[in-house]
Amino acid sequence: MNQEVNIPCGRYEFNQETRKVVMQKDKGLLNLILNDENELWLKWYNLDQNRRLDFERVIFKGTTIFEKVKGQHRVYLLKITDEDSKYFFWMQNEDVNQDQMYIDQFKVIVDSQIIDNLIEFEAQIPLNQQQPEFVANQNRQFENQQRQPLININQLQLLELFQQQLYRHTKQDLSLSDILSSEFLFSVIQDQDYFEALKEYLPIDQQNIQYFKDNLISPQFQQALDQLCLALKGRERSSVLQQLELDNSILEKEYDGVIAFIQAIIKLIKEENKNI
Amino acid sequence: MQEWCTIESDPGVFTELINAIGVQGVQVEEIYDLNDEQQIAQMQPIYGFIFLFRWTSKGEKRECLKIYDQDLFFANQVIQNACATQAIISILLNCPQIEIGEALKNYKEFVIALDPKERGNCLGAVDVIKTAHNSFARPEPFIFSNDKKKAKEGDDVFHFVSYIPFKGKVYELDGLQEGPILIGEYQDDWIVRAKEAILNRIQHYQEKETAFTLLAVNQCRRFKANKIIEQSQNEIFLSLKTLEFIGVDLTEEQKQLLLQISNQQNIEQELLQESQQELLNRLTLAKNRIQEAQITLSEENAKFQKYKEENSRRKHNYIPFILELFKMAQRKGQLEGLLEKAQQKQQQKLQQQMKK
Repeated sequence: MNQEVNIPCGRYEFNQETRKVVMQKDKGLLNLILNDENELWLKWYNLDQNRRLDFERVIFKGTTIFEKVKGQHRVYLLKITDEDSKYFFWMQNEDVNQDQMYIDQFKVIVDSQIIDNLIEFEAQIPLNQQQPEFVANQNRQFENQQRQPLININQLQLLELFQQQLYRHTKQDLSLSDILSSEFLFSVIQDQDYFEALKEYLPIDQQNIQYFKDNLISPQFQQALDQLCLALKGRERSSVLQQLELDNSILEKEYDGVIAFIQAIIKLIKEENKNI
Repeated sequence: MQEWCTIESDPGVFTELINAIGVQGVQVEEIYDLNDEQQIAQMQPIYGFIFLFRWTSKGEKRECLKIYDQDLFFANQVIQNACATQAIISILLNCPQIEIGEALKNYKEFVIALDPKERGNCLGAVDVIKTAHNSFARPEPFIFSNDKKKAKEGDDVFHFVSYIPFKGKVYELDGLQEGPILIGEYQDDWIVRAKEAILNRIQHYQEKETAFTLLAVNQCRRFKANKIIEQSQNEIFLSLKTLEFIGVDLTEEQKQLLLQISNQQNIEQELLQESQQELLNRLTLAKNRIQEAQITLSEENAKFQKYKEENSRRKHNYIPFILELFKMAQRKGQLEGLLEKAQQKQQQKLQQQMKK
């Protein structure tokens, strides 16, 4: 991922009084980036104002159209279909033949966003009525929250992307290593009960007490912990919980895969104790 | 067709890999300082160097030989993720003193008439090598439906090039280049020549702050130590036998030693033409060499044991272990407390960051 395009272009601004879109003369740069977190960020920098960031928002594959305005010379329209938002830009690069190339690059990047199983909606699916505050703040041009039926877009996946951004920006990003503190691991090393329970899960040639500590402090153990954590933070965390034979329905209430993992284990052991 | 996986760039991994494909008496060691003459001397004989550096998509074009000695083995790297194994094999196949084993012998005979690209292709068909390479794959405990992640700029992907002596010349063998690169000629010590080229490269990467590592493919030190012990025991035997022959009264300890060694095989029977003093000196030197070799053997055995343990961990799937660890923590009533503590710590960290 991490695909990016920079398009030299100016903006049009909507004049509330005249109800007309007016061209702004400032030189600008429209930046579109698809980052490692599968987020499409659109920004416009005012190059005449020291590269000031005048506009930024998130866009999504399937709801974004970027095309030439018919009858207008080098004017392009960015339309967000689910909000009915429109942004006009005018190309500023010297070579007019490059305009289409930029548009094509823009489209390729938007299409690269991964959204599984685009499905058609025939009926309204009840959405969480509250939009995350983050989204409302970041999308400054976002005025109209019309809830139109989204055709060909998975609303649940869009919601997931919003939630992902919300979590990332509020940084509730706990890892498994945060939970298994060094203090705790030190106590485990000295605990015979832990050794007895865990020895059969050690490498076959290291299932004795002298190797217990070596394994717990090994980089391989840490790598596996990080690997599991990454899997739990990823889009397939429900599948991960299933593969670990844990209750993945916990993810309906808890977005964070690591916390869901812990809660699933707590639930499993409590049920085990009930059955005894 | 099963792909070649990425493997860790570790001397222990490469040493076991070499042994697994049937090569005898060779190991891989990391060199921390090419100017450390003592370390280099202890590693001798060195069959080749491997220089690892972080790969970038902007490939380096080097001046390659289009015409070169046909006995020099060169293959292009066409298999993804095989560059480490290929760099090692480049050294092994260009060193007549190494016992390379059946798999590599057969491969070399088969591809001798092929061009470098085809040679690289054929490497993928050598099951023994591929299996040995892939045995070091990190366990992938989860199966996802997503596409595989491709390496990109900034990822830790390393490229490997070899430096070898061959018929009086030093060559750089880079599977991504069109042919071998001639570094220069040498008289007695090829390492001096190779060192210049490698140090230039190190300086280049240090300036760019690019990570790199230097490895040596050298004679297995245990193999060497055992050889020294064997030769020294032979010398002790001959010295004592000669002393006995010239009428010197041996001590009890010397008699025991003579008996002990004479029971071993492969001891030469010819006596030495030396004076008593010379023989006694020879005896002392041989005993010292055995002592030193035994210390080396002991250190190397410990090192190989460590490699064995680490390699065992590399191949092990820790996910069931981790899962059981968390379950035990809950059984012991500790897990909820651990989670709470971690969340509190995280909260404090957030607050501190916001204050800044």
